[in-house]
Amino acid sequence: MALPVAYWVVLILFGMGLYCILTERNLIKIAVGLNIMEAGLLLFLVRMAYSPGDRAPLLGTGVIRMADPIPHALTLTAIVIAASTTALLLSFIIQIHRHYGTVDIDEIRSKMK
Amino acid sequence: MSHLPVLVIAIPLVFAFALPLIFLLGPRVRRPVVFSMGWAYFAVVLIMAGGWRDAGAQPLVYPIGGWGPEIGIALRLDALSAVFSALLALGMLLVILYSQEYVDQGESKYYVLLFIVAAGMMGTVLTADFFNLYVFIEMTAISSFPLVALSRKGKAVFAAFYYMVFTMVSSALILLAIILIYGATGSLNMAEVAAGFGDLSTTLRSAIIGSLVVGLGVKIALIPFHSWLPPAHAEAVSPVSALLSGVLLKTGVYMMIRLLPMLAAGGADALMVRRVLLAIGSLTIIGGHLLALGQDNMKRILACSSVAHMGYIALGLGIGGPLGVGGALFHSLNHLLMKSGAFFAVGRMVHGDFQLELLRGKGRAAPLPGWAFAACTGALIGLPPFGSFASKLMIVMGALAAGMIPAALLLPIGGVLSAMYYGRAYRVIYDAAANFEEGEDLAVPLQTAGVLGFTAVGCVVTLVASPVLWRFFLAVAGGIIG
Repeated sequence: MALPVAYWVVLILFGMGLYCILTERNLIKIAVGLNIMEAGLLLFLVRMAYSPGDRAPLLGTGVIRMADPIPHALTLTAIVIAASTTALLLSFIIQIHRHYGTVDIDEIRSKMK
Repeated sequence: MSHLPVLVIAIPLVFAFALPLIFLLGPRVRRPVVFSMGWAYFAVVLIMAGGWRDAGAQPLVYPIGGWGPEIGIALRLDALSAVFSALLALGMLLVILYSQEYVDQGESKYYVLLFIVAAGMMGTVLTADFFNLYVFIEMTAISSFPLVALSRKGKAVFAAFYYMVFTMVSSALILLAIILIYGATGSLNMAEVAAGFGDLSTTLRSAIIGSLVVGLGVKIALIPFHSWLPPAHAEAVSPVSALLSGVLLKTGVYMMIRLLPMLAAGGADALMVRRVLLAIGSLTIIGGHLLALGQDNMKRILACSSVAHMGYIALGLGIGGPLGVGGALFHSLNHLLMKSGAFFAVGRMVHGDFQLELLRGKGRAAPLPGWAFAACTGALIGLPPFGSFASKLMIVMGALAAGMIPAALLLPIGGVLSAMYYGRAYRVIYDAAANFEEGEDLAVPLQTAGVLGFTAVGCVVTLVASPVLWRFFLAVAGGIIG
């Protein structure tokens, strides 16, 4: 079964983000990793709704083959959630930096003790 | 048709956004308003949850805006969501009543976040739509992160960050499962998906169920995905610890009980899921208790014990059958009472730092929290006269009925391990030889005393009422697994 190129990109982005979260020691890079992972998911949603040759789902244009509008609406919601969580995550990082003067997990851990 | 299902989500949201204005009116107005909001929320949820019986065995479906299932997004009330909405609302009410110092300090932010969590939890247990489930768990989770960081201490903020990263990964996995579900079945409505799920290919089914199990496993902190829980639950202020450990974990439990039997409805899938839950549950019980044994901070001990108790619940689900699932449900109720009660009690003994040594003799210096702590932790060990004995017995009997003797042995072993670390805590907390600094304020306000008394007495009442509860949870479990 040949997977369309876009799905490979989704897999790579998701894996890359997860790898970044699991291995990075820098808080900012973890936040970046989360965003890469979420970008992969969003791309998955958008690509899933569309197969080659589909038209925009507009009322009254007599379109028969059209892209599925539901995933597009879901993508918008997911983008809003991703953006607000990123903002909250960064504000935590700023607070942590104020307390410990670093964004490196190992240094923060050693300063905690 | 009654509009209550949508109102229990809307009302706490209205409260949340009205609160900053009400807090401008000064302490005299604030106090009665905040607490009556808590009671109003609880009352509305109870009335709504009581409504499921009207529909008999059929779930009550509420189409938002009157749109049908093809287009609209529906809410659904059945026995399981009724039980969990009532449970979560009870926990929320206790937290709201307990944290009156934030009313006096004029911290409106705290209550705003609390009521958004309240709305999100109701949405999570009532929605019949997969994507809305994702939105509601994100709403609940995002408002709980700042609650952990509320004290603004470095450790608390770092714990909140850590908790947030884990939760975001879990949400991403749940979203991945939801996207796959939509891509494969073309629907987000839970009933429609459940009907068509068995026709999907094995690869797709295992991908969806696998990412759900891992996502939910992170959410309820099953080992090996548990490392976020002890810092987050220990570094938060005490009412928030009670909220996270006692109440919020139960939304994850709800999703597990709701989604896994629905998607892995039979045959090889169900067997696989149950085996995985059995293995992870056993690991979590033993690992959680061993982690708790190594801690010197009272709130960390309680947090690690939460990990172990989530293990009991996962084990119950893994054992399956009406007794296993019913036991998991019953244990959710007990854990809500005893764990939030224990955090409430500890929070009245010391402030800020919860090293075990700082608690020396505090159980005698502050008698009421001392008694409540003894009752709640005694219940956590799981001996009679406490209700958790009945729920653990239910899981043990489920295991024996299914012929899983090693699984049945895990519960008494867990009890012995927890008796070891709570025994150590008792020797310190009720140390008669301890000296006290004069003038330390350990007086308990009446309302807080009521909350402490309720949780402590509740731990016993669930045993007294266990014949009724036992039959009730068996019936609910029977409805879930069909």
